[in-house]
Parts: sequence; structure tokens; C-alpha cells
Amino acid sequence: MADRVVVCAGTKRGLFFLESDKGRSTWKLSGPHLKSWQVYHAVIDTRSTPRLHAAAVSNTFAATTASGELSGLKFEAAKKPPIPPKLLPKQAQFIKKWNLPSEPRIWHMEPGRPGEKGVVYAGTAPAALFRSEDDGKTWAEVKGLSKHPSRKNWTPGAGGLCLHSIQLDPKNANRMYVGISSAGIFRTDDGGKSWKPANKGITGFEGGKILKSGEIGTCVHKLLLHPSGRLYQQNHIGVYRSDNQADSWERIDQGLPYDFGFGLALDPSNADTCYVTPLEPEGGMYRATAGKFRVYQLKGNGAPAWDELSNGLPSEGAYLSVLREGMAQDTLSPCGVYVATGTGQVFHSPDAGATWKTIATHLPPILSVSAAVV
Amino acid sequence: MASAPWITVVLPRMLADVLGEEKIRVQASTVAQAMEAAYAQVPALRHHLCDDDGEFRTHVLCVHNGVTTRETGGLKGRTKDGDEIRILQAISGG
Repeated sequence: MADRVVVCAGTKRGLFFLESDKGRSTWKLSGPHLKSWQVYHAVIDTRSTPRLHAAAVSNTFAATTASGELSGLKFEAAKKPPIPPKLLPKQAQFIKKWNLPSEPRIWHMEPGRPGEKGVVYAGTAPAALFRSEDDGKTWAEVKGLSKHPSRKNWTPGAGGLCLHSIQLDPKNANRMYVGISSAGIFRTDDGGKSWKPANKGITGFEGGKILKSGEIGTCVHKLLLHPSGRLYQQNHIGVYRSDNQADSWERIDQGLPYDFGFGLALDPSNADTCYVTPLEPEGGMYRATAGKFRVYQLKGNGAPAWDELSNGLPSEGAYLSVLREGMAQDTLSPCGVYVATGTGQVFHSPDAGATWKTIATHLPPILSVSAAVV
Repeated sequence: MASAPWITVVLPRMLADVLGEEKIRVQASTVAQAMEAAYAQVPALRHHLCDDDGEFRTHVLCVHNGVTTRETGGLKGRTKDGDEIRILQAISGG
């Protein structure tokens, strides 16, 4: 069978697929699957027979993961779901004071490394990391992170206290990174037994101070690891990169219209670039583009500079939000970039950002997008 | 001694889709026993329906032969052969 690209659009009302051949010029929409579930994130695990892993959230029933072979379109809830730990009293008070979400949810699904058969990770709110060794049927909490001494000082963000980014070092089976709003980034070098904060150089949310080694207190919005080992993050305040396994971070958002944003995408064949969608931070809790919808691409390795990508994107009347799972890339060359909005559009570039077109519209509010070549 | 009556517990489509069961056949003499028997057959069901105290979550409705257990005073209601217990989502707001 010819390779095809499958895009998962997780929405407030189920999961939709967009499918194309490798040319990515025409797309076929199908769904909803997991109907009535809010799909915070869905990813296709391509390590063997393509398999979907989804984070399914509901206002009525408890959140769960749902997994199954892509071809069967039957996605089963975990027999033993990830059940996040309780908020600590200080965190619960903060959530109540600011009227933030407190219900347990699942934010992110991350398949294990190629050799780790059946291994999948999930990030939850309240913040915790879970690991499955049976393709998502049962889950166990990674206690080394939950018992981190800094946990008592993890402060919830506007989306709650959530662990939303999980990145596995492809070259070091013991190293991984997680991002927690609003604690920051943590790294393990021993397979999850112990963790250390990795936020040096990032602007913290208290007083705008630059964090030192070992400190927490920053609102990472999305963290991605390039196959080369370079890390990128979109933070509440700024965009950053790191070339030393997050021992320190360099701020690179100079030239962007806003330092605020949620989504982030990479080009697997080019470590020197990333894609962001800055959002106007004013406007209360609805952060959106301010009239024109633009994606920005980092220009190379030197002093930070950005290309404003506009070819095919709306230039007026576009007040669109892009959430933290709202950007993705595929693994083809040139790489495809996908940006999904809180108002149901999916914008796609098949040529690493040079041109764009709308491949879905009128979907329910989109919470997440991902792409896989199967 | 007569065996307990056969009851059908019907799940909403949203749950049935991911749990793989829409109708769960159980033998039970009360609604509470029927739900426990359903949880035994589909262990993840309790997680979805109940809070930490074992009570139904806020927006979960349990309907025994067309009447919610909120109206009948809880899960102590006796069952008879052919009864139906239907789980619904309570819709609030307007």
C-alpha cells in the first residue's frame, strides 16, 4: 500500500482524521471517532502496525486513554486508566481562587522509543507522568517525578496543573523531558527514577526573573525535542532553544510580534528551524491572532530572526486561537506543517511553510493535531 | 432458593464505544448489586461512573425501569427479572 499521511484532529466533540497521499495536495476528512469525547491529544504510533493512542476527556465520565489499531477504527478505553494524584492543599486553593480547571484529565500521549515494544507515556492533570507497557491497556504512575521535592511548589496554570509535554531522547534510553504548567521543564537521566528541573535561562512567571539552575516557576506551553538533540519550547513568555539537554536555554523570540503562544512545530530534517504561531496576549483568557493569521519560522542558527509565513493564510478578520497541541509536523521531506485552531480550521503547508491552504474548516473547536506517515 | 433475577445494565453510546459493551447482563436482587456485578464484568466502568467516594459522578444518572435512582432514593431498589438499568448523562444548563 502506498504511504499515506494521516492527520489526527482532536476536538471538543471527537476525533477526526484527514488523509492524503504523500503529495498532500488533496485531503479526505472522516469522523468523528470517539464521538462526544473531548480529544485533548491523539497520536498514531507507527513503530509497528499503526495504532492510535488518544487522550479522551469528558465532563460527565472520567478521563481515559483510548487505543487501538488504526485500521480497525475501534479504540478501547484503558482497562486500568491513568488516575492522577490529588492536588496538594495549596494547589487546590490556588485553583479555587482563580477558578481554574481541577477535574483529572489526560493531556498528552507519547509512544515510546522504537525498541520499546508496547511502551506509551501519558501526561495528566493534576500533573503526573504515566507509563504503559502494554500499548495503553494499563498504566502506572512514574513515581520518581510525582515525588519530586519541588512538587509542593508546582503552581497551576490557566489550564490547571498539567503535564502536557513528554519528549524521549532517541539516543539515550534513560533520558527524557517533561513540561509542566506552570512548574517548568524536568529531565531524567535514569529512566524516570530521579528528575531535575531544567529551566536555567527561562523567564519565570513571578516578577519576570530569569531562572537559575535547579529552579522552577515558569509556564512552559510546549516542549519539543528535535531528533538532533536540540530542544525548543514555546513558553508563556518567549520562545527558547537549548543545545545542552536543557542545562540552559537561549531566548530566541526577538522579532516575533508577540512572545506569547502555545503551539510549536519542528522540521525533522532541519534542526535549525521551528514554527510558532504567536498570539496577542491581550483579550482576557481568549488569546488569538490579531486580525491576520500568521505562522513564523525561525531563520537558521545564528542571531534569532523569523520569517513571517503568509502565503495562503488569512490576512484579515482572523482572530483565531491555537492551543498547545495545535501545531504539528510530519516526517516527509519537505516537511508538512499543520496548524489547527480553536474554531475548527486546519491549515497545512506541504512545503515546510512556503505555501499554505485550509484543509479542514467547520470542525468543532480543535484541541490537538498530529500527523503520521503510515 | 430462587436465583437472583436477570437485569440488563445499558451504557450510553459514548461509554459503550470505548468499553466494548453496551448491554451488560447481570444477576442481582437490587440496583446496587446490579451495578457491582456490572463493575465486576467491566472493571473500568466504576472509574467512569463513580467519584472517589464511590458515588455516581455529578452528571451521571442511573435510571431503573425509567425512574432515576435520585427519585427512588438510591440504589437499594429491588429488581425483578427483565428489569433495565440505564446509565445516562444528565444534561444541565440551558
